[in-house]
Amino acid sequence: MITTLRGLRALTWLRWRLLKNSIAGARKRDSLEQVSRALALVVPLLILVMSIGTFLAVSAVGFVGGRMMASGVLEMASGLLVLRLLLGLMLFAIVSLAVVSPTQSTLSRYTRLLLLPIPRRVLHLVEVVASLGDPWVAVVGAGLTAFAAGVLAGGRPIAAMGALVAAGLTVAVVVCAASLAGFLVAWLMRDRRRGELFTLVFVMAFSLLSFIPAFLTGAVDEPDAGRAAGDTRVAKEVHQINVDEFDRHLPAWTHYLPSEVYGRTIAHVLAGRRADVLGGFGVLAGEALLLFLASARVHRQMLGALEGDQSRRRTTEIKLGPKPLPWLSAGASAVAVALIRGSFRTVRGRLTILLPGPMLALLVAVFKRLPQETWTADAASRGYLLFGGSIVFTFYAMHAISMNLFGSDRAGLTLQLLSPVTDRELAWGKIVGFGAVVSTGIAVCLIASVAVAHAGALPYWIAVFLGAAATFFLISPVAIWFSAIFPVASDLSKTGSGGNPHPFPMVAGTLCTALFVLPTIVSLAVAEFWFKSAIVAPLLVGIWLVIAAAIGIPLVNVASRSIGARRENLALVAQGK
Amino acid sequence: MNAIETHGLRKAFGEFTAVDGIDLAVPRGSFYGFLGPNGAGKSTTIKCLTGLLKPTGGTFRLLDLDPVADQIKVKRQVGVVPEDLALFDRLTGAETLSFVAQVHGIDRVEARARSKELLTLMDLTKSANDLVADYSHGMRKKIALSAALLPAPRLLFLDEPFEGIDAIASRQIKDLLSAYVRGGGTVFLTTHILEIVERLCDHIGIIQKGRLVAQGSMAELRAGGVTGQSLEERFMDIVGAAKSASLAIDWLAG
Repeated sequence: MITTLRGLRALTWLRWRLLKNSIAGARKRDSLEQVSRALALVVPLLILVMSIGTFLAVSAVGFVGGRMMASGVLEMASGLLVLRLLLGLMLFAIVSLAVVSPTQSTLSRYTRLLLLPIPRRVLHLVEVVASLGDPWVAVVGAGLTAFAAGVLAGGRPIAAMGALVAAGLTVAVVVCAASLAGFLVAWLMRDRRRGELFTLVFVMAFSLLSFIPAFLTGAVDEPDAGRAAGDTRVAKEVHQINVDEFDRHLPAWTHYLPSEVYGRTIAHVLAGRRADVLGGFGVLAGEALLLFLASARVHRQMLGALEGDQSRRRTTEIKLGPKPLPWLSAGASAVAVALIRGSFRTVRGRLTILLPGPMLALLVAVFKRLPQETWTADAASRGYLLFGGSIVFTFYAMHAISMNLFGSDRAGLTLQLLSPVTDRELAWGKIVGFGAVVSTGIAVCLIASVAVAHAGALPYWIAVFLGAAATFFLISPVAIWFSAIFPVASDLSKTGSGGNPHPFPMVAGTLCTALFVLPTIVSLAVAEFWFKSAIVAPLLVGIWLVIAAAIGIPLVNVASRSIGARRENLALVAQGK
Repeated sequence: MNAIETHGLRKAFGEFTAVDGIDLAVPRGSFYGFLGPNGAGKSTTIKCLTGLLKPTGGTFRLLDLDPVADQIKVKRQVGVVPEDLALFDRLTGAETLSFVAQVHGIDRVEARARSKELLTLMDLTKSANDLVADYSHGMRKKIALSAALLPAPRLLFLDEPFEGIDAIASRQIKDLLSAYVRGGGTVFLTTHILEIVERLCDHIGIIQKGRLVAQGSMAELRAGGVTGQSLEERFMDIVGAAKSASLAIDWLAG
């Protein structure tokens, strides 16, 4: 027991120090680096402020809801339905985040901990308890506690006690479920290839499957079908929500979801059915215990797999790189090929290529099912708009690469800085590599757009493509500047913040991209609504492309000087300092 | 003629001075061991000499060239295995060598032949097409060393090259480096393994707290000490390390 407590205290202290030291940062460098670090703290602070806002709002809603239900102002069945649905959504978010989390970090910290005289069960307990610090769990805990407080304020002290116990048990179930999911994925991630494949499939499936409900729902189809038959009376009826009917349609397995058990228990608490209340507590406690034991088992499995060896492909034929790219010096070509390979071989790189086009195409496919009079369906009939929109999102998604062209190479950057490559060659190599990656993303967008909405005159499609090229020419020098001034040693194999560029270039890059696509949008609008001629669109955007290239290409050369000026800082960032 | 010559080389990070006005003289064709306790400034010196850090003061020349004015020319003749090994995680071992060959303008046939020889020597042929991300620490070190050797540099900076390398590869690398020096190449090596320095190096420099406290040939260094003294004892004397007996910790002795 003493060993457990001592271990818990040591690990709690360790977590606190790691957090504090990460905020404090390392030794002071030049003033620009200090500005860069200060800016990097802005985003976490914003998230903190928003989290506090959510925390307070959920607590207020919980308190008011509890009080109204306890005093009979709010009908219990409807109030509980809202509570169950909100709680269910939050639980889903917590478990999903727990699944995503291991894909964003490494397990290396465990290696050191395993060498210390701390029992593995303590490590497990600390990990589970630490989940309470998850902002979403804190929000759920605050909301449920505030609900119990509301019941107390409504003049039902015994019921408030019951609600508080139910809240505590529900949070325990959530924490254990999130831990189990997190450990399971962390164990999967032990093997690099298996882990990266899992992350890629998970993120893509998670993003794309979210559209399935929109396809499955029949409600949105009814008005359309009615109009086709010339019947104007359809879609006039408003279907009233009936809680009993809703509950009857729920599959049996959902009755064991913690949000459902909590909802039933609260209903029993407010109705004063003591035996049923105890039954509800029992189910929640049982679930928490089962999940805790399962998570302990998976945790043991995960730790055991830490020192495992990775399988390697054995080969006798050595595959060297390709021939140098045309129109580039050998040095610039080598830099470009390294960037292309790095992007295509990392989870983040693959996602930026594969995700934006299909995501937006699916969104448009959903829009097409909406009634024809909506603007969404009108927009969906212009396939080139979908193409253009998905290109913009591709540019945004690629900020992980484009706004951190040097830092994302990490130690590879040191190799480039040590190589006989000029700053200009380095800049052009990066830009050509980025161009190849973004072109692949645009090709995916084109395929997805044509598959979903191929309507619209060909000249508009060509104009959108030319607009993408113009945006690329203008974003290129910006990318070099931001990447040189605000480098971050990011890991593109991570889907979370570990793979992000510095927050300032991410925000500024987003604004720049929006600014650079504006002339293309204006040209398309002028061609369609003023000249009413499709052929004018590529002509106007073509002129814009020439202007953008005339500005962008010389600026890349100018921007390359910033690499020389920031060389030392880049070298230190490459070493993770 | 010196391969490396520095005059008052200095590097400060804010108020902390990592390298404090050192005057190095590394003869061409020498195997120079650069020694010092942890945090003495060895790696910072290498980073300054290889252009990764900008010196705060002093001047230096590599292979009789000005590394600032003739940056690219110098880099073509210098190979480096830095502290962080400088490797792309997402390139294979073979692709890493291909990258180096390309930036040095080595033609493909020659690059292939050199890569094969180096990969065979380092026992990396079977893992040549694996990503560096999947390599063990020793394998990463070997591929970093191969990348440094591939362009046949005239000056080689090696920052702790033997740590984490197995005995067989270590022996082969030592033989390779000795042959390289006999052929006129210069090696500037930092290591904590004094046996390696004693066996390989003909010149020594010792740095402590950013200052060069001793420099010269192995014979000169030994001449300054007590007859029959080992390099380790001489090193301890120079850096003023306390005798281990005086550091005995009672509670540890049981």
